[in-house]
Amino acid sequence: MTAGNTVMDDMSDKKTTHFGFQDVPVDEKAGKVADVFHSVAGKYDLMNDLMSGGVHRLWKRFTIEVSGVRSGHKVLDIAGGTGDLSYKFSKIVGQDGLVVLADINESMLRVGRDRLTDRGVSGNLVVTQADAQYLPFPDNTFDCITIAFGLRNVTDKDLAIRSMLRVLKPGGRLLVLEFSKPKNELLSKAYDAYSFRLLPLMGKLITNDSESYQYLAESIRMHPDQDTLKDMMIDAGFANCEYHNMTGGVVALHKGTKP
Amino acid sequence: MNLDPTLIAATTAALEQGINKALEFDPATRQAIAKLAGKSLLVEMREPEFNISLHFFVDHVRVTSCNEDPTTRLRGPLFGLLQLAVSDNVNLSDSGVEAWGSTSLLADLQRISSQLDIDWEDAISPWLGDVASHALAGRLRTSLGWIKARGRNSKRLLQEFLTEELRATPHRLELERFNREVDQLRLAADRMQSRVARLKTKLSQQR
Repeated sequence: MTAGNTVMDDMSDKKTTHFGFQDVPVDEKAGKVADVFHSVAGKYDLMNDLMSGGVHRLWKRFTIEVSGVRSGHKVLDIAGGTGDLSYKFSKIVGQDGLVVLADINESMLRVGRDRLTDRGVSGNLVVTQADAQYLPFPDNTFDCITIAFGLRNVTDKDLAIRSMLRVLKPGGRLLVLEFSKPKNELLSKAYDAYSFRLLPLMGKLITNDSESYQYLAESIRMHPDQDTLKDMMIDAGFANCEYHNMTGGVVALHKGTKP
Repeated sequence: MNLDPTLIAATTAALEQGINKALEFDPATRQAIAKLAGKSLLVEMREPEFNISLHFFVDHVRVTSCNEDPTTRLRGPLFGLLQLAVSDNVNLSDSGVEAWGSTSLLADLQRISSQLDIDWEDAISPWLGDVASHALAGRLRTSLGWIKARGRNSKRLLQEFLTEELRATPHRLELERFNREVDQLRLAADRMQSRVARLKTKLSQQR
C-alpha cells in the first residue's frame, strides 16, 4: 500500500482505493467523488459556514498569509471549488498577475465562476476544469499552488503531488490545506462525535443528503496524518517541508518549496 | 508561546477590518496611505512573540502575520513598540526597538497617524441619526484627544507618580547625589587603604 491509499487487490488483480471507509476500484473513485460534489455544490458555502462555524474562512486566510503571494505572481488554486481563495489571490496578484481556478468537478466550478463574476473579478482570473493528477499546464508555470480541502478526494495523491511539483516554478510554493488528526485526545473524541453524528444530520436537514456528509467524515479519517503527508511531499521532491496545525490539529496547512 | 494559527488569523482579520473601516471615514488619511502603495511594515513583537505586517495598497491596507520582504522591519518588546506608536517622533533610543530597512516609512506612518481624523458623525449617523451622532461624535473626539495627550505625557506622568506620590523610586537628583556620596566614600576608602599600606611598610622597615 502506498501513502496515496491505492492498493492492489491480490485476488482480483484490480487496483482499489478508499472512498470513505469503503474500498472501491480506482477507476470508480473519481465518479463517486464527482457525485458527492454535484450533490452539494449548490449549498457548499452555506454548509462550510455551518459545519465550521465560519472558521474555514480563518484557515483559508492563514493559507493566503503563508503563501507569500505578491503582485504579478501566477497562482494555481486546485480544487478551488467556489473560489474563496481565488477571489483573495486575484486581489493580491493584481492585473499583472494571474490566478487559475481549477476543479475537476463541473458543478463546483460553475458555482465558483458565477460567484467570482458576480463579485467583479475579471482580467486576471482563468477558470479551468482539471484533474489534479494530470495538470494541463507546462512545466515551471506557477509561483504558488494551493489545494484546500481537495487532496483527500484525489484518487492517487502521490501522483497529484508530483504533478503539482512539475508545474511549479523553482522556488515556488505548494500549500495543502486539509483536515488532519487532532493532537489532543479529548478534542479528537469530541471531533469524532461531531463528524459522525452531527455532520450527516446537518447534511440531511440542509441539503437532504446525509450520505455526502457521511463520506466527508469518513474521507477525513482515511486521509494521511500530518507527518505522513509531509513525508509524501518530501518523497515527491519538495524541499523545506513543514506544517502548521490549526484549531488543535483539526486542520493542517502543509507547505513545501520546489527546489 | 506559540499561538494557534486560527487565533492569529482571527486577530489579523479583525485588525484589517478595523483599519479599513476607519479609513472609509477619513479620506485624507486614505489618500496619504495610497501614496505608500507597494510598501509594507513588519512588526515583530517579543514578549509576547507575535508578528504583524501591514501591506499598503492604493485603496486598502492588508494585515497579515507573515511578510518575507518588508520595506521596514521593527523588532522589540510590546511596551517599546507601543511607546513608539504613541510618541510624536521616531526615536528608537532607550525603547529596546530595532529597525531594519527604510525608516522613512516609519516617519510617514507616524505623520499619518498623528493627523488621523475620523469623521465619527459619518460613521455613527446611519445607526443613531444626525442629532445623536453629532453629540456622541463630539464626546468621542474630546475623549480621544484627552487619551492622546495623556499618552504623549504618559512617560513623564508615570515618572512623577512613581517618585513623588508612591516614593517607589528616587528622584533623578536624589540618585545623582547618592551616586556622588558613594564616589566620595570609595575615594576615602581608597586613600585609607593606601595610608594603612604605607604605615605597614614603615613598621616593617623599623623592625
